[in-house]
Amino acid sequence: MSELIHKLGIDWKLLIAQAVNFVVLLWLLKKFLYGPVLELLRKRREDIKEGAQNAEKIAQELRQIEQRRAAELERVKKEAEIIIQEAKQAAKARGEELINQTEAKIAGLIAEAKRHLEEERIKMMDQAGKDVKELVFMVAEKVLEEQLPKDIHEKFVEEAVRRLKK
Amino acid sequence: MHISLAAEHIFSIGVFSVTNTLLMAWLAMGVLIAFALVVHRVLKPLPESGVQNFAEAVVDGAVSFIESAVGSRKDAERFFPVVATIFFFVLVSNWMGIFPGVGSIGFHEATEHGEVFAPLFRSANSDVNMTLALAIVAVATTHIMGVAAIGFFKHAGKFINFSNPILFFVGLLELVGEVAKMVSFSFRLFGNIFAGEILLTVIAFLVPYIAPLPFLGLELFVGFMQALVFAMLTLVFLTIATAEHH
Repeated sequence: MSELIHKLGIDWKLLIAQAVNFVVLLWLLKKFLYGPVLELLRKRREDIKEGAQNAEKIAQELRQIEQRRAAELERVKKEAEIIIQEAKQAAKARGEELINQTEAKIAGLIAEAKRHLEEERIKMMDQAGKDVKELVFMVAEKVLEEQLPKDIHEKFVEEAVRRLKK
Repeated sequence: MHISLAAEHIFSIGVFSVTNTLLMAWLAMGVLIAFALVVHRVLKPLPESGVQNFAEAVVDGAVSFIESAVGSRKDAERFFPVVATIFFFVLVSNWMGIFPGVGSIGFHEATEHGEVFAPLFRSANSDVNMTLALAIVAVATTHIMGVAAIGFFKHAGKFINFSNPILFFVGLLELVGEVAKMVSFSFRLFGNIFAGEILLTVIAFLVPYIAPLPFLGLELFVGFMQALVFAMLTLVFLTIATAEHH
């Protein structure tokens, strides 16, 4: 046995040295290579997972916002339609009112004008009546030459004028 | 041509004798530590360097591979450091053993057998001290993790069990099995790499040009396979040791 150990060159000191070498190597690799790289990989995996979750959340929120926006738009459209409708009605009503007013005014003016004309006519007729009365009076005076008393004479004239007016 | 099973003595630090295989182990460690430090320095949340991409790919690939073997990411990350370190250390030292100059640069040394050639560098795993040390660390780790996972008494109960005679003898066999594990671990790796070294030396001695090329390729493959086998067996033993029943 010791012959074999000697032939193989087994030396406890070397054996221990190699074992210590390996343990030191293991410790150093763990500290500087495996540990940091594994930590980094784990962190990256977590980051990616979180990122994916966030992206999903954002997409969902975006969808909600989009829906809300669409609903809002729909509401505003309806409101605008109502407002336009009301404005149209108001404008129409106002227009009709204006037209009515104008028509009334015109009618008023026409009536006024008619009334004026009537007055003018009556005045003229009066004047004409007076003039005719005087004329008739004068003619009658001339014709009758004071043969009738004055009051009867006037009565005649008036009667004549009245008849004329008719 | 002189072939020695034992690693050659190169120099001494005090009473401590440094062999060429220990030197190579230090070099392999140096390469891995340098890589780890470079990665540690360039590590950013968003990778900016090829080194980081490479390190991430290697680490994540290894953890995923272990995960596919043990089933859970938690266990995979627990076993990963020791399994990966075994794999990378064995792989790097095996491949460094194929470098030109390893086994050929050296000096002549006077010994009791006369003057012999002692190479300055020799593949770290062509020394039983190295492979046995790895095997002991690997098996010790399985026991430490076993105790940590299921408790000392439960774990020890797998080996020393007086509840009935059958379990008692099974426990004894398990104890023998633990020693056999170490021996098979160490001699498998040692045998493969040592044989590869000798194969390359012999081929290079017979036909120095062209002919060694296929064998170099073969040794690259063997170096990778042995690293993988050592690491995977360690993983299997770790899984068994941390399980309640076996």
